[in-house]
Formats: sequence, structure tokens, C-alpha cells
Amino acid sequence: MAVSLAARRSVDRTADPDGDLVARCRHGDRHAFDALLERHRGWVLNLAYQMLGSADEAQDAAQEVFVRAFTHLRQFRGEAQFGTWLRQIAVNECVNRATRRRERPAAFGSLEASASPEPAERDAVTQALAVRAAVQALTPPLRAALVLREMHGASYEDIARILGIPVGTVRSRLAAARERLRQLLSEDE
Amino acid sequence: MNDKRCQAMRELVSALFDDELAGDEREAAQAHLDRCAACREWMAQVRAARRRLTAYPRIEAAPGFNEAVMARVMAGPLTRLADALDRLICTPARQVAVGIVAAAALSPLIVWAALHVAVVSAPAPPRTSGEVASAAGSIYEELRPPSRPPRRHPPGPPPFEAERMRDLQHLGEH
Repeated sequence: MAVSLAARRSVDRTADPDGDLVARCRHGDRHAFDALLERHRGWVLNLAYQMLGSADEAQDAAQEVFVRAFTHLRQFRGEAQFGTWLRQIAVNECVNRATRRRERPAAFGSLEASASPEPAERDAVTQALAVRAAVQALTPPLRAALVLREMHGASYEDIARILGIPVGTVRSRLAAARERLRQLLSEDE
Repeated sequence: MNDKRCQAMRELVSALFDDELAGDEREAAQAHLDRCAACREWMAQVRAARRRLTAYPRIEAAPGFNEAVMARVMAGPLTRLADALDRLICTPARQVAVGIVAAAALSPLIVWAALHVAVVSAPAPPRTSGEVASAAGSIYEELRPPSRPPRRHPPGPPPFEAERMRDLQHLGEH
């Protein structure tokens, strides 16, 4: 899952795979807009779901991420790849929402297959619910570091840039998040 | 190996697990792991927890997702500002707070408008004796009950129209 440090740096140096679409989108090309949405929609949506735990809120947050990205496209200078820039917007949006939401209980919703008669499917749903509950039990800063690293393969350097924290803090947050997750999931077993 | 030392080393062990350590730190973390059974066990449990993360459910975009994004982009900044305000005041406590702040912010404007209306609608004070008498008379007229019903204009063209028609008739006679 983890890619080596050197390999990730070499990826950063390559041309932005979205560069052409972004340029066309800036000139009002609707097809480029749709293509960028199609390319990034899945991971933005699931990142929001991993950060927020609610499918409805994730849909709304993901829409907001794209609206922000497209309305501020002129501010994207290509210093990082479009995907990295989008990830930064997505994480900020989700951390803000998760932090605001701590005032009121989260509505996680239910998984459709929870009433399935198949034991294997029931087990899978139980597993999924346990994992989702454990991830949502982390504080938003720990959750953001863990989700970016474990579910989106971000490097420590990228996580530091996205969250605006030093690499040393990324390291400590990840160790704390892993320790908490280990405790929560071992309690569940 | 003591717990305190292990707690301090776990940040490094966690980073080693991610292949994010180099040089002395990498050697120190590796050396610690080689010696410490508790940290090796911790590492194994972290690895198992990480495997379980793959069970996190996934979701698909709702129908009309792209169109909704496009509509919001095209809606312009005012609509987005309204959306943002809507999200900001999503709890009853915040709604009350925003109401109080808005009332406080608008109260000088409301007071100014009320004073302005009062000053503009108030009649100017009479200056000459004739004006005083006229003002007194008008007050008397207002207070006196009406002795007969108000006069109604008969149906027909308004006075200006009637005058114009008379003029036209007059011209026609000549």
C-alpha cells in the first residue's frame, strides 16, 4: 500500500494528468468540466464519507468541494497537481464540517444489507459498521491524517501540506490514530 | 523494554511501518523493534487494524450529482453565500444568536428611520397669527364630528376631462 518516498517524489515531478482538462475547463469547456468530475468524483465522495461517516452529508460535502474548486479554478496555479489541490479543498471542507458537527450527534444512517439473510453478508456489514464506527470515533485531526494515509496513500509530506502542519506532527498524529484505532477494533473483536 | 521508552518509540515505529524514515531514525526504530517484543506485537496489531480498514463501506454518487454541481457553480456567489449562511445557522441556538446579532446591528437603522418618519410627517409650527388661527381651525375641523356625509363626485369624466370636453364643444359652436 505504501509507496516509497523516492517513488512518490518522482510522481510529483511528472506532468499533471489533469493539466489539459483544467486548461479547457478554464475556457468554459463543459465537456472538460464533466471529465474532471468523472475522474475525481469517486475518491472525493469516499474521502468525504470516510471523514464524515454519513452518506448524505458526504454527497453534500463532495458537491461543495467541486463547486469551490471550479469557482476558484483561476487561483489554481499548477504548483501542485490538480488532484493534490482538490484533495486539500476536500480535506479542509470535511475537517470543518466534522469539527462543526461535534456540537450535534452525527447521523450515520444505516447500511442497506444489514437485514440480509446471508450470514456472510451479515458479517461483512457488521465488519463495515464496526470499522466505520471506529474511524468516526477518532477526533477530526487524527481521522484526517489516518484517512489520508491509510485510505488514500498520501505521503507524510502531502499530509503535512494538506493539513498545514509539520511532518513531525503528521508522524505523531498517525501514531496516535493507529493506537486509538487498534484499541477500538480490538474491543470490538 | 519499558513502557515509556516504547511510547516514545512508537511514533518512529509507525513511521518505519510507512517507509517514511531515513538515516539514524530508521536504524533506531529498526533496532528497537528487533529488541522489543511488545512493540513487535503492537506493530502486528496495527497491521491487522489497517487490513480491517479495507472493510470501510464505499458509496457512489447520487443521481444528478454532476448536474447539481454545475447548477451550483452557475448559480453565482450570492446563492452560494445564502447556502453558506444556511449551513452556518443550522442549529436553533445559532439561529437565535444570529437573530440577536442581526437585531442589534439593525437597531440604529430602525431608530433613525422611525425618527426620520416622525420629523417628516409632523406639521411645521405656525409662524404668523393667521397661520396660528388657521392651524387652530384645522384642529377644530378634525375634532368636530361630521355634520353631513362626505360629498361624493357624480360618475362621469374627471374634472379635467369635463373641462376639456366643454372647450371642444365651445370651439365646435364657432
